[in-house]
Amino acid sequence: MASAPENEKNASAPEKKTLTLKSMINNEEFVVDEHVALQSVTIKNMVDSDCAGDVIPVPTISGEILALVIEYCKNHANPSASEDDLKKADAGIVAKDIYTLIDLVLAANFLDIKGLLEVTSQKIADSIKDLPHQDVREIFGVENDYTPEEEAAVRAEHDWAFEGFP
Amino acid sequence: MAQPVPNRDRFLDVPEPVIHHIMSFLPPKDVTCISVLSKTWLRLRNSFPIIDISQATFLRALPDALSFNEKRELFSDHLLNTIQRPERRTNIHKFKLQVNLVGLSELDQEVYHRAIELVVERNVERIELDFFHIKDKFFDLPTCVYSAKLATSLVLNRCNVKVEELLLGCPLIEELVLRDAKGLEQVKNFKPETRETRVGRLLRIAERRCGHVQSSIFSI
Repeated sequence: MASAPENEKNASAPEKKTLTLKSMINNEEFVVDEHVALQSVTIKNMVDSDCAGDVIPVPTISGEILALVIEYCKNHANPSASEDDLKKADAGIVAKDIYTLIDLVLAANFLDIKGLLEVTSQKIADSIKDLPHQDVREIFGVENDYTPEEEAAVRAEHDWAFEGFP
Repeated sequence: MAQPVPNRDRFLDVPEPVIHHIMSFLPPKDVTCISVLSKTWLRLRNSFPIIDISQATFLRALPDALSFNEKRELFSDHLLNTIQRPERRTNIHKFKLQVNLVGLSELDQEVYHRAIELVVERNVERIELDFFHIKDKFFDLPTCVYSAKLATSLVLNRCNVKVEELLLGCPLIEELVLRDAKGLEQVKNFKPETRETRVGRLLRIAERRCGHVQSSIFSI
């Protein structure tokens, strides 16, 4: 509910600032509105402490993942988006394979975007919920380094958790 | 980025706190199952800073041949060992204990007190104690809870609570939920001068009894 005089004041402010994020993995660049990029606490800290140049290099995050991160930030920077819209949009962003989800959770962690970290973590957890550990091993690509005896011992110790599993 | 090699551990490059965060979205049963994946995952499970123990679930899986006392003892060991795992290097974020045995012996009380002392020593932030099934009395909180410096949330079911002492001793507390508890009557004569000493913090005290929820917000 901004009043008219305030709007006028805003109009005299400089044009919308943009920032360029550059993936250092494949040198892809993304131009985004500053208020969108500032949802990343990491970027916000850089900007606030004047450490950010025109181009902000983002190490270890590929262009493909950065595009998803920016999509998330854009959605959540839109003040007219309803909670329902955001939920649907988030579900779309995390409807990915496990490789992409892990890259995404690492990106959310590095860039410090709490909401994205939550939805991605939830999605990864959901992908193994209620599954027998043999399936979880497959999904997570875990190499079993137990001997059969060791595995049986660990299982026996936690019998209660394996009810109903082969 | 290079195409991932099939069968390579997909979590190899993921820092432990991030994996723990993902694990926090899993029910306790799945968290435990993780320990059987590999030695790395056993370590990850053992250092997980959320402890969520239900006595009923644990006892159900024990062989029927065991006596009641043997089962009790195994549960006590499980509880104390879980808290004291050597891999636990960080603070405990959350400790949740659900006790389902009707009745509370001196010995049980001692074990639960020890468990709570151990988590308070490890700077626990959230404590949830459910003694709903104890019908003959209320669970007395051990004294260490009244000086749990980092506790932010306490959810207590069927406990005997000295509310004022708790508010004074736990400076970070933001949420106190009491269900079927003894001690709430003290809150009603909460002294205004005590509130004055903690300007700017919000405290939610909720009392739930037989389905009715009475929630009051105190600005203290």
